[in-house]
Amino acid sequence: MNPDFGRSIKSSIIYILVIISISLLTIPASITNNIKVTVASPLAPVQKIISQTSDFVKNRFKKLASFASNAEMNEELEKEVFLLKNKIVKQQNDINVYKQKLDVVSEFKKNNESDEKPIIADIIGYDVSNFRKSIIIDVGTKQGASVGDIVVFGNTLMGRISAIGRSSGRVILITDPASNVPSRLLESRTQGIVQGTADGTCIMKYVPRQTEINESDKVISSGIGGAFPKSLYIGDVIEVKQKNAKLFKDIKIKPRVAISKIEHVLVIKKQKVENIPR
Amino acid sequence: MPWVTIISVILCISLVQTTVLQHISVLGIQPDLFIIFLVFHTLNAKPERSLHTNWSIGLAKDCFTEGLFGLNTVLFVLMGYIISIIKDNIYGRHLATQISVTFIISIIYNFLYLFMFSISFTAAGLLPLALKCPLIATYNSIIVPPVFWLLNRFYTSFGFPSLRRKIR
Repeated sequence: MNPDFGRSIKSSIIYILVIISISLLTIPASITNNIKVTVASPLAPVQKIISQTSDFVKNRFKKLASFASNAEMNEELEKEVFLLKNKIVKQQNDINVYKQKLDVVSEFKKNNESDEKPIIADIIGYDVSNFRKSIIIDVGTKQGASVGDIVVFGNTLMGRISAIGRSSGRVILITDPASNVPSRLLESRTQGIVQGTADGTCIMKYVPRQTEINESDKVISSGIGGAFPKSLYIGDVIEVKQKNAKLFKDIKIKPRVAISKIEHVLVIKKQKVENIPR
Repeated sequence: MPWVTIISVILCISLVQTTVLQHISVLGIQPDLFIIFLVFHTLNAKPERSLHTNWSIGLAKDCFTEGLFGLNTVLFVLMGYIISIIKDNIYGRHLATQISVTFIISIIYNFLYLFMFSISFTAAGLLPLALKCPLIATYNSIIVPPVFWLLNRFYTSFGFPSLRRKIR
């Protein structure tokens, strides 16, 4: 073959591939999310099996490692148990008081909210990029989940479903740099926006400089905007910085739950905006 | 047949990357098998074939990550092109070369990805993310020897013509 002809074919292939790639960038997110989920769905069962197997192997390794340190820990734990038993007696009294209050709240909730049950989901995959934080769960439209549903672990906010297929869904975590969660500090009630940093921590932005914040203060979701429900635990403050010229403080937050340590999450249905008084 | 091999490798890499590699992450960093496969394939296969493959690897990565669809595809074609330019002037079969090329390409790819990412989002912690790039590149380089060995075995076993000729 003529070398010039071969070279021109090669360069035209490059141009065509680059043009196709760039045109992919312009496709709306709703369509690309569908493409992603369609491609990922057939792999979901295999991902689930591999995830379960690797989790099992990981747990076995952890157990083996913990045997060595168990003997030293036992003595410390015995002391701790003694102290905790004393605390339990005091707390039982508190629980009785709270129980009465809770009965009143439950009665109110029963009448005002739909009784849709949360969906338990297994984590079957993680994001392949080092700069993005998302997970794949084995829950899709078949189980009743939809885009925008909230994902929690216990009472801790984990993220939000960004794309959904028939039997799997992608969850954008609060530690993703593109995630923004309206939040507030539990003690001072000051509001801000929690943004991910992709290194496992978050940053709370737009907190006024005059606000007094201590390390280990708790951060919860504020519910403003309606994307996330309010009062879900996000994490604890681990670092507060104040630069002279800045209007806002730089607050570093450690999420309550490390995603690598859990295997299941709970999907809460997005609250429907209805019955709004006009 | 070569396409079956390539698609099988891409599928295997996608599965391993989304499930197992999270457990061997160090400082929140996991090795990027897609970029290692890109380097392996571009160093070993014919330029025309590596172009298609790099495009497919990028597309596969886009399918399993959050964010702009097509960004990895563009960057992977670009990275493949960079390797194919320097390929004739280096001895790609030597382990030191493979490690060095993986390190350099990982750094360029991650910085370009972050640059594109910073245009799309006003992320708060871009500087810490930029500092992660050399660490990611180092981790990728460290696992090059076993991954290249496995890929070599896989390719020769499943009869990848151009590579078999080179290896022999």
